[in-house]
Amino acid sequence: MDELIRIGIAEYAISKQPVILRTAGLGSCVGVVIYDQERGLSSMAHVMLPDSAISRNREAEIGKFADTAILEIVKRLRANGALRLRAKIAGGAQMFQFKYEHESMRIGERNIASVKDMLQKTGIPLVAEDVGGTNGRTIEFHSKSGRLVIRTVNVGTLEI
Amino acid sequence: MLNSDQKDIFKEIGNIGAGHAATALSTLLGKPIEIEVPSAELESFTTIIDRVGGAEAYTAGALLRFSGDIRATLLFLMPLHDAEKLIGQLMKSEFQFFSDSHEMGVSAWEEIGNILIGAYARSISDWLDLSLQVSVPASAFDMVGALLEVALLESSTPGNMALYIDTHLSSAGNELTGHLLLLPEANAFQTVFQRLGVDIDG
Repeated sequence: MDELIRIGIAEYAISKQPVILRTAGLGSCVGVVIYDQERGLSSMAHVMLPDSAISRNREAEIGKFADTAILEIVKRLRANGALRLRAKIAGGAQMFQFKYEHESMRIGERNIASVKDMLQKTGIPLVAEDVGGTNGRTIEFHSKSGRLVIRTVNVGTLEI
Repeated sequence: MLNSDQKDIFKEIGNIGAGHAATALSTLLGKPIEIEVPSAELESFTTIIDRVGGAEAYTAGALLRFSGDIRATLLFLMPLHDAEKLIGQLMKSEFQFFSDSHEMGVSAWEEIGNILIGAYARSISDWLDLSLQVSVPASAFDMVGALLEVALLESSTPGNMALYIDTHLSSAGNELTGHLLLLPEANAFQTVFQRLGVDIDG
């Protein structure tokens, strides 16, 4: 069994070994997996917010924002020899349905948009996604096979 | 994090809310309900997630927003299994989420959630003595980590802290657990805690 690494909210992890990367209870946050399967490099981030412009302490909050997390992870993967990076993403749900919505409540959609925008800017193809909806997700990335397993409370398990 | 006087203030706010909630819930369910507040504390999200059973614990949530002088989120969480028992009492039959009667149970929870969270909201806004509007509550049933993110996003507070009020409900021999979280938005944090008599830097 490969080592299991748990990633908390606003955290990220990078591995050069065969590994299972797991993050639990994604709601409006987005789980971003970036990997180079041929070279055995993998990563996962649990990003909370779309844009680090609001951050007062950017150094300490790299994993919290889509833009800073993706830039940092890609930089580090490439420094470790990654050549053919790909991405899979899941999350960005809207957990509570409000009758009178204001903009920040669609944070899930904004997170998804920002993640996709950053992937495009860094030239990383998005090969699979399970985003949006109203369900929380727990995700597990198996680096050897490149499978991303997604569990929900009432929609069952999905693999992308 | 808080001294004993400060904890007492939070507990008292919780107790007043619990009192209102118990009266209204007893009327709704047609049987006596007692609500106790064993503890109140300023907690980090990490600790709160542990306290409610880990990020994946299935949970029923009711949430409302304060706006006006300050913006804050109030979130009431109950383990799904406990919520099912409470809903079962209201529906007068056994109830399970994600079964055939799911939709009926959701409506029942909305009613219960509105009463509970509404009672606490009144208690809190009385204490704060600010001009506050309260949104219509919204409900969700899912992993608690996912539900908490809603609140997290709105309140990038120093160290991601929230006011956490533990609640125990007892009704018809059932002992139920609830968790109430008050999450002021980042720039409202200071105001709220000053009004409550807490110096968060101290």
